[in-house]
Amino acid sequence: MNYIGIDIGSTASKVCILKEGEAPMFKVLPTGWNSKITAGIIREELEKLEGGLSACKTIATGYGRISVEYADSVVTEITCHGRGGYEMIGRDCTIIDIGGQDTKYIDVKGGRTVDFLMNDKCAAGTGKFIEVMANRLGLTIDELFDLARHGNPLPISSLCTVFAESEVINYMGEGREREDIAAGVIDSVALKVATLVQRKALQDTVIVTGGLSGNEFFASVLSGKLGRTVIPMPDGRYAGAYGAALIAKERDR
Amino acid sequence: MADNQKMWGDLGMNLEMHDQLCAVLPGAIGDVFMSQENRPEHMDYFDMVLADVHGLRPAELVEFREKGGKVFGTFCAYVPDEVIIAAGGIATGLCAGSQFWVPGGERYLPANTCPLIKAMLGARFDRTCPFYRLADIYIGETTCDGKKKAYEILGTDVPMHVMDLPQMKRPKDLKKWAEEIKDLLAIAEDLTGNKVTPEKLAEKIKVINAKRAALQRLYDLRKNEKAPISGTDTLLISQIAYYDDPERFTKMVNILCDELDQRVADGVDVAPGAKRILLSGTPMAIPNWKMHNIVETSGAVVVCEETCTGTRYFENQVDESGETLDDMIQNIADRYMGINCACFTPNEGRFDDVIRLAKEYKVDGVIDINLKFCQTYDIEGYTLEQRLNEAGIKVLGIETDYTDSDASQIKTRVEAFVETLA
Amino acid sequence: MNYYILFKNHTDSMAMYTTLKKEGFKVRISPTPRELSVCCGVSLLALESEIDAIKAYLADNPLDHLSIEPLDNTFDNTRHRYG
Repeated sequence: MNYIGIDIGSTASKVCILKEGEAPMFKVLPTGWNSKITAGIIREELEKLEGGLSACKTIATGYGRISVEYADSVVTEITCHGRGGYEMIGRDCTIIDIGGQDTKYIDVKGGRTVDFLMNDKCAAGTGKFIEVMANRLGLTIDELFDLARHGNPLPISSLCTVFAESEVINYMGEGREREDIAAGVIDSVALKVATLVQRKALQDTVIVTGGLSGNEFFASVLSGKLGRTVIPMPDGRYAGAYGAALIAKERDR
Repeated sequence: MADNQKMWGDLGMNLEMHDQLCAVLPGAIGDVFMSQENRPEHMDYFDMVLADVHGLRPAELVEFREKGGKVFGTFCAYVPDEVIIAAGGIATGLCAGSQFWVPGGERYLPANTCPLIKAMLGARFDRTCPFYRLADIYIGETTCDGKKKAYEILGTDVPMHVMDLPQMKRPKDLKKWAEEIKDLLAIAEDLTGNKVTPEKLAEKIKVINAKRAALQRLYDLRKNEKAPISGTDTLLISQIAYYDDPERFTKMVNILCDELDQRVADGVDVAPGAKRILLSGTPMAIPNWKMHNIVETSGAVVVCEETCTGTRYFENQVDESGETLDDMIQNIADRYMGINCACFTPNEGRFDDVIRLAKEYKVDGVIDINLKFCQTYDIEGYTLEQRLNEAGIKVLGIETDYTDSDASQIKTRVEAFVETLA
Repeated sequence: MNYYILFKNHTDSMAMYTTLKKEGFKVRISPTPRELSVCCGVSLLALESEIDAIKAYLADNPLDHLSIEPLDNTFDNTRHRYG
């Protein structure tokens, strides 16, 4: 039996294939404009596995989870990230998941999510914020991070992405250094994430999952804001899909 | 039902705009209520009231007014209906639970005002609710700054009396609230031309006590491990409580409860395996069914509401032993001041209520629901969460408004919360 | 397919509701769908499997109503549109 976790996120869709006695396999593809089409592409891949779909137990997660019509069940990304993140780090932890459209605080004990928090509708403090700002500065996200490392952060204080963009435009108009603006963008995201989670207790181990999970620079900026070491997870973007596959396996028993 | 159009026209309503509401409501009612399985048979009365929500009861009010009767529009669980009906008036809730009325209110109010208040002004000034047209006077109360200031604007278009609700619950505040009720009684006598005698008030205290007792009976039935009725259906009943004829309403709730007694005996469960949820927080005026619909399609069942469209409306009775008008008014004041609204400080009683209800209804978790920009409940949510954590009760805080746009985001949070309760 | 029985007023609809329930039909009270009438109001919703029997019953036992209309609508509790 293959245990499959499918995480249809707002930006990227992640797949985890779990076979008995083997290391998990991860795949990523852009979600695109239609979750159903993305789910269909994943289905074609799964059909190629030995035994096809009928040899798969599948759990779908992420905001597009209901589009995966062939999934055996759906579980929210919060529970899945908790389960997958716990497996990756191997101990109780606080997970900070920075996704394309939201940011989550997840408190995990024994692999189970015991508490969580999500940001409100606004995109500030999410991957989308970084994407918008990178576009505005004419950079890719990777280039933005590379520049930010060498800059002194300029304050970006607005809680709203649209207004924050205006602040960035002002800095551009003033002829400020791109490095400093880039550093300001990253600093602002970290600060907003820290503000979100400060209502909740942090465990000794804090890890980052989601699209920025492998970024050591971001983890170090966030560590500074939280006053605690934040561990970047190289495969952290797959935490949701991994958790879904693990839950599929557990439910099969 | 062509008569409705004529009645609405006679009431000076904006028919074209009102038509937009008529166009969407049947679909929403179908999705939220008729999609449910295994509903009690005697929800039929409440379904009927809802099916013609702007026709049936308004027609009764029109008839009442043609005979010289006076209608009092109210907005809040603190306004004592006993006094109004003792003067021969009819008290009707002026609900404001639809996004449909919000843009109309935004013409007058700042954007960061709660949707309930915006909808209140929109319903009046857009002329799209028959109840707002049928009230001869509006009875407001100083439960929050937003309402207070909004009443000033409403008062430019309709006779308005505002009751000064104290913000603390010391003995002198209870006395002051009794004075406010006395003023309401005088206003009711003046408007209706009827004298309120001790006999009349004693009789009407019993009428409203009986109504509260019926609702308590309904809620007690929800304490059963197997839910005999959905939270969505119960919410509708609580919403109708605000504007139906009190004696008929009491009778219908009791008929429903007889059936629910039988359901409990037969072990009927409308939500097998569902997690039991207590909703606490801001009121849900008709047709705001959003949270109940989301929660009850996410593997959970709402078994109690600690809201103004829930326990705050009916818990505690007016002492019936009063003989003089003054005694009775003080007894009424004492009962209503027992409601624990976030507009009071301190408001320890509410934390105790939520924890008590969580235990009485054997809930798996509490969802604290806050209407956007309702400052008092929002701020109080912090302490409530602490208290619930201390009591070992899981809680999820949700902030929302009347729009549909955040439904899927809320659903993700609620489903995840239910998963943590597994 | 759903079948809606439409009425001039709610008194007629409740009268038929009571009678049909007594006869064992699984009719339900419903707001009149927009597609069938521009006026809000109380209708009865009948099952497709019972509609012929209801029509036969009403032929023998006339009760005031305007018409019986089919409508291909569904009730979706996950649509989350509240009006």
